[in-house]
Amino acid sequence: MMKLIYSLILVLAAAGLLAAADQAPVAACNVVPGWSQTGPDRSYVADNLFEYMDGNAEGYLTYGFVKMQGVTCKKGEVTFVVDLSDFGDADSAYGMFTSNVDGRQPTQKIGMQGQIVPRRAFFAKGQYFLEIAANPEGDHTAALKEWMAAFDKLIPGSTTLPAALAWFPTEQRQSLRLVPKSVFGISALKRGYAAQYDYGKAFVVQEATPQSAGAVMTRLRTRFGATGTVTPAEVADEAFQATDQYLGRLCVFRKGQYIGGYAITQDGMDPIALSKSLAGKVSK
Amino acid sequence: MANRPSRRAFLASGLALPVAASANQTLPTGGRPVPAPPPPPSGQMVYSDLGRTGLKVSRLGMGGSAPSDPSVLDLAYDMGVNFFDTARTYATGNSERMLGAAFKDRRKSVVIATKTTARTKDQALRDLETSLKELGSDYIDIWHLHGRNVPADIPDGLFEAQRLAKQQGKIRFSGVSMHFTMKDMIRHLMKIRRTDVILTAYNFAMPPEMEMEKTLAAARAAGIGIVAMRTMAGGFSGTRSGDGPYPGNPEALTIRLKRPGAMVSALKWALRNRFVDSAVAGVTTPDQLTENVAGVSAPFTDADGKLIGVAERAARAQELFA
Repeated sequence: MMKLIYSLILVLAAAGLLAAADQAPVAACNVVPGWSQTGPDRSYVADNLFEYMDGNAEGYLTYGFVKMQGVTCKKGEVTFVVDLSDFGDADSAYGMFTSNVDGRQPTQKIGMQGQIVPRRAFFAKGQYFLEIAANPEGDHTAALKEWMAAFDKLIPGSTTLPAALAWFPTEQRQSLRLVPKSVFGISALKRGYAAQYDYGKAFVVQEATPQSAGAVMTRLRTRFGATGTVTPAEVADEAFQATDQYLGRLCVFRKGQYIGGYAITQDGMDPIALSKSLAGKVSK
Repeated sequence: MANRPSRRAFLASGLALPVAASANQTLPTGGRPVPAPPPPPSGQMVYSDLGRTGLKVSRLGMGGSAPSDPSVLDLAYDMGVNFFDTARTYATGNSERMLGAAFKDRRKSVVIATKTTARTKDQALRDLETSLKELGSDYIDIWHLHGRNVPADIPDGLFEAQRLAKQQGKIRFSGVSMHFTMKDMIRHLMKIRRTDVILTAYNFAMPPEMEMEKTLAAARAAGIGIVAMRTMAGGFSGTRSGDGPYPGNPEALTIRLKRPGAMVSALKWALRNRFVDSAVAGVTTPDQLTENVAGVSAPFTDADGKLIGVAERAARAQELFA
């Protein structure tokens, strides 16, 4: 009899876990009082996102898009097109945020990070990316703030920003984004953060191990050596400097499994000094 | 960075024009095709007249929501690419911003196309102002109505917005982009005669019943500039059923496209059609760019056909190749 009870408890517990796992957040119009849904629900996966997003779907797919669910909500003459995308992990969802954020506008602490402009708002939290487009023309900031706050409460997941963001200096920075492949246009640098500054740009890529990072450094030396002179530099575990026709004066370093560096296009800035400072912040 | 290679000076000096002109000698003259010129040296960019616009565009254009780095745009320009395609919605405007920043000092030597998804005249004109601001330019070469697959997607107000923008000098030419039901849409545009350029999905995986060859030939005869997209059938980001109607399953197509060199063969397949003035492709690395540029100047061959698994014989393809 006791065995049967234990089995029943186990079955119920498993069912509870499954139900919890299935409780993915849902974009709905009743999230904020006073709004009602117009039109049917939208639902897309990677296979058919193109039908909804057109060429813009490529941007979603490169960040590992899994699925999207959306609704259009109406209040008076105002409509909000609300789409909630699942990117599988927080890193990718935040990457999607970085590719959409307008570096000239302020960001807000919504989820991991968000941005609200008069007709558009979006934020990343955990593996989710929530975006709202408002119509008609006008300043919808107040209502968008209300919606963002409501979804921030509804959507589960981490609100902690990726550690790498804190490594990049903020002065004269125009943008900081997760590049999903070929950082600086270099295929050896598969995926990582790149910051654009007034005077050049910086990057950090994480490899699986210090050994694989070392192998990438060898490939980079060969690549830049083919078109110019590569000389060693004293930064972190290993480093070199070079000049590239398109990237400018470069310093690339390896610190453990991380590869980082600067490419400088403006006179008066030293890529080695900047790289030393960046390497000092990178935590293995 | 200060010493740019001579390619820019070459383009700026207008010396590229004879090359561009020679690329067009196969266009129908009085309904009679003239013999195709010999293929250009490998790796050299080829240019086309874009319909009747008078624009000279590289047969390889750069498209997609955004390259991995602005330096890829610089390299493309130096390799002879002068045609860049973006859209108001790509990366929430970051794509236009990147393009604008890259070409702010050499605006006149590139052809820039952007698009609006607006559904009304007023929205479209507001989008246009935003695009001009983000691109840092006082004109757009080709302004497309974005993703219009059936005539009902284009109310008269949108054509009116294009006409007004053209009158005000804010755009040079009007365009329409489409991904599905191209046959009907292109014929509709030919009939109403308000479109200078079309940007259409066109790839080897499309079945014959779509009649793309016949439709593009008719559009060319009507003087419409033709730009192809999705030439790699979604290969860069994985083939998706939404990329267009495919006869087979997307997984099988993806396997074909993963064969080394298959992407370039797919691009060559689209460009073998002499009515395609340019094909825009998304590029993230210099290696991809170099491969694509080489592909533009090479004819579509039996080997290409085998690689992407098209039934059409290369001999037939050669008849269309310009």
